[in-house]
Amino acid sequence: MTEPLLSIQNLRLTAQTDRGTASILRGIDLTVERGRILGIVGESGSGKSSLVSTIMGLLSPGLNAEGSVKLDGVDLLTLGSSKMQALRGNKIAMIFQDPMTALNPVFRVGTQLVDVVRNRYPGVSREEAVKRASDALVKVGLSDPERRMKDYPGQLSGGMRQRVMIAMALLCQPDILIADEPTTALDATIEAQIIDLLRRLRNEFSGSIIFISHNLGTVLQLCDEVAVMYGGHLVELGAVRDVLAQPLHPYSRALIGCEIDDQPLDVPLAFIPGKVPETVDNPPGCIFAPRCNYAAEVCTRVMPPLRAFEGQLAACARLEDIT
Amino acid sequence: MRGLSILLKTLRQTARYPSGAIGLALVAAILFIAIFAPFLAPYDPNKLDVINRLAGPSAEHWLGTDQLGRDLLSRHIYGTQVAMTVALSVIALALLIGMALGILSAYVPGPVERLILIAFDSFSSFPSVILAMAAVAVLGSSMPMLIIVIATSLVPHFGRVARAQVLSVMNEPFVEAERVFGASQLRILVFHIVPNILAPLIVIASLDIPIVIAIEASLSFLGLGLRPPLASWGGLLQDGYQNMSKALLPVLISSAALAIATLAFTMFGEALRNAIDPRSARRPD
Amino acid sequence: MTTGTSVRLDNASVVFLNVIRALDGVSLEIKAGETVGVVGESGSGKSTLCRLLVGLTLPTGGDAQIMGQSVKTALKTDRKAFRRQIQMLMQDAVATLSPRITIGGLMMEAVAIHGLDRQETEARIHTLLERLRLPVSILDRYPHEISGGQARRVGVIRALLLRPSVLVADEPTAGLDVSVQGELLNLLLEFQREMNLTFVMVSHNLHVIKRVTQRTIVMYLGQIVEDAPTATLFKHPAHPYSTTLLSTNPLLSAGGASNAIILQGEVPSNAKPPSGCRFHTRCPVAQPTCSKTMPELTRTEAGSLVRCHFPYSLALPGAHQDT
Repeated sequence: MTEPLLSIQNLRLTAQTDRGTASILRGIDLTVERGRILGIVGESGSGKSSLVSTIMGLLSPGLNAEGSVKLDGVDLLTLGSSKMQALRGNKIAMIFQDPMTALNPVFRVGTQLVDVVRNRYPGVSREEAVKRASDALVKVGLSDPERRMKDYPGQLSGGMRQRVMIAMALLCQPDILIADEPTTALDATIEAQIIDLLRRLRNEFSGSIIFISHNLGTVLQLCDEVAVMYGGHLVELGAVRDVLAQPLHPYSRALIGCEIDDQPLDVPLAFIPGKVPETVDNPPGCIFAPRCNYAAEVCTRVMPPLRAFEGQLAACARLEDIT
Repeated sequence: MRGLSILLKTLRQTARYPSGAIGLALVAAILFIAIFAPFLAPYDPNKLDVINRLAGPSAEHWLGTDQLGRDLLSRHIYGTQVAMTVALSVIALALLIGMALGILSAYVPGPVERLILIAFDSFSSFPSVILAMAAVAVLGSSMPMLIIVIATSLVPHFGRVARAQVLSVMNEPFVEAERVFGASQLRILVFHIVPNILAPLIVIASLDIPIVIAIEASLSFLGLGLRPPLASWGGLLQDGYQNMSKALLPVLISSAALAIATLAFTMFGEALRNAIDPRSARRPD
Repeated sequence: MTTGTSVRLDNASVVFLNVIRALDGVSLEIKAGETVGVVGESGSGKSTLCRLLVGLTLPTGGDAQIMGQSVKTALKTDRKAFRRQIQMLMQDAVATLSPRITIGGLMMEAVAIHGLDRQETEARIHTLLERLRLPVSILDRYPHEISGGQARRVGVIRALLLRPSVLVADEPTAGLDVSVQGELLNLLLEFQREMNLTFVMVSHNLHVIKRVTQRTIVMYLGQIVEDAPTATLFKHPAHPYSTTLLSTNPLLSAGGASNAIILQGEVPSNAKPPSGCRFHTRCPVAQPTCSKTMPELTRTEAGSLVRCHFPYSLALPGAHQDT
């Protein structure tokens, strides 16, 4: 096997606050192979958005990243901001939850799409760029591309804007496409359309996709692998079907257990008691131990590393005892 | 208790940047001088000493004397008191009336709203100095009259901001939540809307203080404001200006007093605005 | 007082600016103590329905009655008594707390506004804090100092302090992490049973509706398209729109198989609703007559009310059938 496309090693993200050092990412190891779709799930405070911002080189000032994030062997953390800027929109692109954060409201959709093409492939003529843009709009299911190209983003519905964003990604053919909760703000039937579109288009992408979602059902439909994050740690990683059907880590189990089941009305719903860890807390042991049903003395000593177990990777000291 | 802690916190934030700290210190000093003028001034500001007319600085008169031999230091100290009295009364009056009219216009749509807006527009279409000149010329000048005239010219400013604030706060979810909870219109206004529109109004008030000081000084300089022998900065400037050929110092001192006061309140006001609404602040780098 | 009926809508309509038909001829009756879920996409009128019930919006046509009394007259004759009968949990929990008043102050408004006994109310606040697992110290905090989850619980306490007969909840779990939504729903259901609350819950999450309600109302473009016992609806949806909605919510247990019915196009505008059946423009099984005559809400043999010329013509695909 050749070198993975994206390889993250011991990534730590910290910030100094009034209440001490906040650890947002506490040592992430993750690789993404070419042409794969990786899902990242986790709750608020798990660090999944920060992980994505680090890859995109969009960290707010005051945040300190250590470790390495290598794309094709190039460490993104050591690149200057101008080089990183050049990489964004070419090798790395992102689809946001709210497309309006990425679309410029004062330029026509067509102008923005053509710019993407000509920025990515400087040799392409204007006519060719317009043609590619219009083809991409058809591919993402927008009929009447001529008219859509003349529209301003504000004239489109939320679903259409998200389609335009996907068209941009198709045009730009990035090595890594990051989709951050791209369907959360959409209505159910429109969400289904977009997920369906992404599934059908996945072969059109040459690169890999990192798909962030809190909806495990959607992750299951769309992704090859899934990474479960909790409190700045990666606690489980594996093939999506394995992890969601047979989670190893107690947190993954609890999280999946919180999915709404088919129990009758009088059976209480499942939840995880306790609170998510604060970034300023640095417990010596396992980050999930205070809320874990299986916690034992061994869990209070050291945060267990991610290790292979039955074909999956999980960061738990007691895997042998609890399966 | 809570008001005090908010005040202290806001002042601390105001002093975070050098310009804010300088502004705050100067404003505090000016207010101190204004309040304790009788104790600070070495002489009665109106005591004549015709022998020592237009004397230069000396051990007895640190800043010298004016054309009637009155102690300039004492006159400027009392002038500070006059300037602050006028400025703070004007702002308080304009704020109260502006808020009342602004809230009324937001709450009562229809003729009342239109009438108030027309009044705001017509008042603010005159430059305030001209408006004040006309009013003083017709109604005569005294300190209360001057205060009312300048305040009137500032009412539209506060009124429009109050109105815009009320209109935006009125649509906040918490106002609807209070309605669902059973709060009356009056209760919602007093407990939930007014406290949430005060911050921007206070900022405007502090930024308007230098403007009021300048208007009052201009009117007094032109002889339309406070009458001699009352020591006002504008009047002092006029006195100094009349005798500029004989002594340069008095006019310089009065100008400096005016400049320092306006600058101090502007710096303080800007810092206060940044402290209350951090979005308007530019990063200090 | 009408026995047993706590909420009654009689052909209620809400039209904004003379053209936007946010709610169009909605009739329904909810029995005291019933737990009803309302689902639909943006523009379906589900939020307007909530606002109508609590008197934030008045009907422009028809009538809305709570506990046998028209909302319009109740607001005129005894506003406070009406407010004590029906309370609402609004969507954005933090934004519904007045920002310059402490949490304790907001709760004690129950005394100031409704003249409840001070000591008794204080005691009740403490009991409720304990049950909702909120620290007593929260009473001295300001709304911006508490988390979204806490704000939601504060909203629940405030509503319950008035001992309402009807509780309307607009997306009570929106924005909450999966690990905690179960806890909140459990508590809401506990209170519902204890106080025999009539509980109307709007949600876009069908799993939640399925799990906690007895009856489900499906709305589309301002109309009720299906009104059925929850178990019946989820097993045999009668309206093609209900079927589509159900198919787009992948359950983990479905194993990632995508059986989503993908609708064409987007939800039409309330200002220009389609002729005939409102859903015919997107309906996969529409017939010529559907674009001409609007179907009435009719009762099927299974006991569901459905607004469709051809009920049961679109079956739930595959895996869902046997659950």
